[in-house]
Amino acid sequence: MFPMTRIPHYLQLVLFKAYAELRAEATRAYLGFLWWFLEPVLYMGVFYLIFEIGFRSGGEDFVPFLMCGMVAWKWFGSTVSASAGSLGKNAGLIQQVYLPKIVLPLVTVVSNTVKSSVIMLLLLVLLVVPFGKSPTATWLFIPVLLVMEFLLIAGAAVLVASLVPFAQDLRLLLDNALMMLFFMSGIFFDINKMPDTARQVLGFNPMAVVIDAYRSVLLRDTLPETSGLLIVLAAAALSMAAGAAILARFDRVYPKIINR
Amino acid sequence: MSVPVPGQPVLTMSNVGVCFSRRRGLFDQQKIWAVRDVSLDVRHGETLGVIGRNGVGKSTVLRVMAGIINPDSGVLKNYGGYSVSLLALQVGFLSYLTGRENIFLSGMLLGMGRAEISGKLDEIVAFSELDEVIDYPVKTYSLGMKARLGFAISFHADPDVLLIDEVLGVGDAQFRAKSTTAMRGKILSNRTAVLVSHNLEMIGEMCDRVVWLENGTTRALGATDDVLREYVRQVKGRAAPVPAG
Repeated sequence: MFPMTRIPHYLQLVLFKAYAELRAEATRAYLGFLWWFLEPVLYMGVFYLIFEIGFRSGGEDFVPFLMCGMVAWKWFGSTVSASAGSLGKNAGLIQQVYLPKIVLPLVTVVSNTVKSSVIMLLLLVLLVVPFGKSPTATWLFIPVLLVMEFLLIAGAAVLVASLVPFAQDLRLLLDNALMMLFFMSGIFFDINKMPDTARQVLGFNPMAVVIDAYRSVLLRDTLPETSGLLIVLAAAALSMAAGAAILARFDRVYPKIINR
Repeated sequence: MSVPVPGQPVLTMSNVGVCFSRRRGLFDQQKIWAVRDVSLDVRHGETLGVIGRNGVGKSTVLRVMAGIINPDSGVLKNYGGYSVSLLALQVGFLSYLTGRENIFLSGMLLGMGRAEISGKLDEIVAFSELDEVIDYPVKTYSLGMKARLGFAISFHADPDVLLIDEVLGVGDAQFRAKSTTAMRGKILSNRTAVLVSHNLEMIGEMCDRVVWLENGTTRALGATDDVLREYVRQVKGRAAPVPAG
């Protein structure tokens, strides 16, 4: 391990590297950082077109319901998927200098969080303007949910990043696992309206809990249940502990096994 | 960190071995020992040379010293938390960022704090001779300009023990002369350094002691003149023309 006194340095490094990667990404595209705004607009626009104008089948309030789920998921899904390659992408780096490997997935988490904050804000605006929701006191609970989802994402990202270098095959597996989780998180349906057994099973899926909590706060004007949120925190803590332990245990082995 | 005493060990390696495994099939793994049994010590203020033919594990030994990889057998001991790092050029460069931004990114990856980099910024820019180009994206740089910037950053990183793999200077003839002179000055000062090179003249001039690696093991370790004499004799013997049969 590295001395504890170096922690502030590595935290600073996480933030600066995330900033640098975001800047590089913004400079690379023709429209620059406008894309962080445009991409979610297009993403949500597709659902708006399909369900509100096209099918008109979702019923009252289906689009806001769907958007809450999609936005919360996108932050999770895109970050976890990107962090799987965070060590491999930096193979050249970790073969030249020593870095605590946990730095690399955390950079991915921070940069994706910045990008996702745009779509979050957009969601709130859209709920108010075209869908006529008025902000209520329960909206004040949003920061708590954001922090909880952030912790969950960080834990999952670190765990995934710690495992993928051992077998690149895991990456293929991960994409399918994420897709399964996507369909099990109640993005298209309301887990509260499922049969009891299904609801109990889905209640252990932290992303289903998070998404339902957003909806409860934003759409139903009620606070989420504490028991569900404890499951989210437990999942976040467990995955972070496991991932951090694996990354620390093989800290000076990854540079040898990583494939460029 | 303890107070450095010249001649006292900073790092020691005892019977260090490093093996890489190559996967040939689902259950078939081949183990290759790049380093088998290397023992050496690095002392305060000295320059230790590392010589040996291609593929004897010189670079792997440096990577173990730098703490990048763990040895699979044997022990690396650091006497007091000294920072040890490779002279790594252009580490983490992002080509869409400006030279100035890359100084911060690369410098932090090399272990420097942000404040430390800010303090050395003017010096680094001046050394790289990039002037106002420093605020252009690195992707607009020529190879030589990038090399100059990379060198200027690494040169100012100043770890307690500096590990150098072959490269002393970079760039065009003029910058190469300047960077080599600067690096020589740094190594010949009281800095603790380990220098891997095939250039025996340079090893002879700059190193206090030399370790000779062969087949992943320590073949000899001692005063520069003694080890070099032995090495040259052996290499010449091997290269002697075989009479045509």
